[in-house]
Amino acid sequence: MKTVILAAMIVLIMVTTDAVASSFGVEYDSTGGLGINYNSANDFASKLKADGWTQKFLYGDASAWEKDFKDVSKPGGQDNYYADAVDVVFWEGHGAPDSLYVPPPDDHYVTYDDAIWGNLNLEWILAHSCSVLADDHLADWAYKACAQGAHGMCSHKTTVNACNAGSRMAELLVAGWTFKDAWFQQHIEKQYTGCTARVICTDATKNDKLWNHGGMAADPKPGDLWYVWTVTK
Amino acid sequence: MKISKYSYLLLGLAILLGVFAVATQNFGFCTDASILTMELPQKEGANAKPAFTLQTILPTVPEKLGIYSMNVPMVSIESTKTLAVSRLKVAPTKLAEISAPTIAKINAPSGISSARLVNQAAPEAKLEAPVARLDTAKLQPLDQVVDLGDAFSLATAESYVSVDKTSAAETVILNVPSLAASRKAALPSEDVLKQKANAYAAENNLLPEGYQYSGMSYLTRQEIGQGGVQGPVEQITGIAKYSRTIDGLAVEGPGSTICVLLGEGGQPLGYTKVSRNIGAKIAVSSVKAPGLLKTMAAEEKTFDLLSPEEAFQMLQERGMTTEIADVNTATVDKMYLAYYEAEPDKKQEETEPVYVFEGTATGPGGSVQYKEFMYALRMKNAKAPFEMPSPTKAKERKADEPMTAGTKDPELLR
Repeated sequence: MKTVILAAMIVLIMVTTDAVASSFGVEYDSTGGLGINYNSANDFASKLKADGWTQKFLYGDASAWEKDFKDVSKPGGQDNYYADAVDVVFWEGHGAPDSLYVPPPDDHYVTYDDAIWGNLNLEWILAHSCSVLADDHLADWAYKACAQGAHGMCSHKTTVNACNAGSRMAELLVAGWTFKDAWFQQHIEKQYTGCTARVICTDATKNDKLWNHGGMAADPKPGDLWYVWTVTK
Repeated sequence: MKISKYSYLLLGLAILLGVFAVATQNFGFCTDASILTMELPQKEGANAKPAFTLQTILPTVPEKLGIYSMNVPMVSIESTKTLAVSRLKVAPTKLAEISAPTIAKINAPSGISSARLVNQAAPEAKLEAPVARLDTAKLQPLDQVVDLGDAFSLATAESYVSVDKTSAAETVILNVPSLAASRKAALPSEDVLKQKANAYAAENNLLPEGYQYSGMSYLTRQEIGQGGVQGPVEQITGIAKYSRTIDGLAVEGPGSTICVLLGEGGQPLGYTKVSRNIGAKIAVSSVKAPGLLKTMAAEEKTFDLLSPEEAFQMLQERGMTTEIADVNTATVDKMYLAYYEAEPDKKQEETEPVYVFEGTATGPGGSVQYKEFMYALRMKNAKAPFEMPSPTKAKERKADEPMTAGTKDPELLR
């Protein structure tokens, strides 16, 4: 009997630890002169780790793979181990209105059709890339990629300069800012005049903060209305 | 007179030497690049060499443009404290009334620091200050300025102040929770917002000489329907922008911008200021050689400036340099000369002319508005544009690395 209770306690501790652990993952492309993205990714990771978060993965360049973002139900997808296995994902690299551009040798685009984020775990994806949230595919990112449980996505409408956004974003999140406000604040500080940042989320999740700095709203449900917030510097 | 064949040979050699000399002389242009330390975000886009179409007239280039030193004041914990006291209107005498340990005890999170808190309160409720906690937001700053590594920062339940160490860029938010309101605010007209911003800027002495109001932006909210954005665009927060010029040219880039945030009723919510001091003229640049310029002092260091035609040609060869991917065509709707000031965490000791291109780039995924910057000094373009080398430090990855599959957060299920 004692053995059973002990085993049950161990299992409970393991499950509980996993359930309450706040985890994040980072991938980036620092090739082709985007060297600053290495700093951005690593600074984001180190500042969240210092705040008590668990880093589940940190991959860059040739180790950043499309399938990490691709839903497990799609051919080759393994987001159940990566993007959708953590609470927050930070990506810095190239992008287009329909995709995140993962660098060679993988050399694939992560499109809104590849992604179903949040049906497992992911709440927020921060994509420091050009134009992912341009007008063309806003509804696709909201209702195809995110609406199964993700809370929100941050990116841009226009082109954007590579910079150390990760460091500043993490600083503001740890200071208790919402994802939305932190994204816009680092944007105002670091981007050129005329550059447009965007956040898509629901009305319920618009004030989400890091777990240990205010917490998050309940998961949105499919069918919930999504909004786009926009700031042009 | 008979001319020997050797004379023809000598004459030919002389002509060749002359051609070579003309082709290689710099007409007095400066070749010392040691003072040119300004760095643009010159990166190579992924599949980002679209076919550019010029849809505007080329800019007129002034006879000469200055190159100016930039400097920043020393930043310290003390200077950050001083800024916080000044901007948050803290009465320094009140700070002595309550000890730091007491403040920390009062404001310690009530057992939620490491636990996961589900925030299910109504959005409006979150705007209210915690009732059970002492409202020390305006009493505690001096004890809570922390060194973030790249900046000094003060974060209280209500306000936020940070000063970047590299550029002395300031961010002051008087009421962070009010930023999260994110509902349609009763914003007054742009004129009223501008007046409120001007008054706040004047009261806090925010605008160095040369800054002028340059327009109003807004944080907006709009519904996303199945077919894209729909319904009215709601203006949530006003952003009054101030910028400056040098030699009649705008200063572009992340810097030389002061943004005052305005909320409901035009109430100032804070500001962001990225503005290095512009110092002495350390050199000049021109498309004309110094010897051809009557107005140019002989002793002025003069750098060769690209002509607009050359700059557009180089844009086509270089392509786009932002984090853009996969574009096939691009229009150039605006092209102009400007100066450049970098983002806060970048060291910048001089500012020099750049060419700016604006337009729309189009690829299979859709259309994107872009802005591209290019060094205007020939010397900067003759060599490879600045790139931060790609690190080889990225972790190598094996295909079969063991990972734990994600699970649903039970506290988020409803």
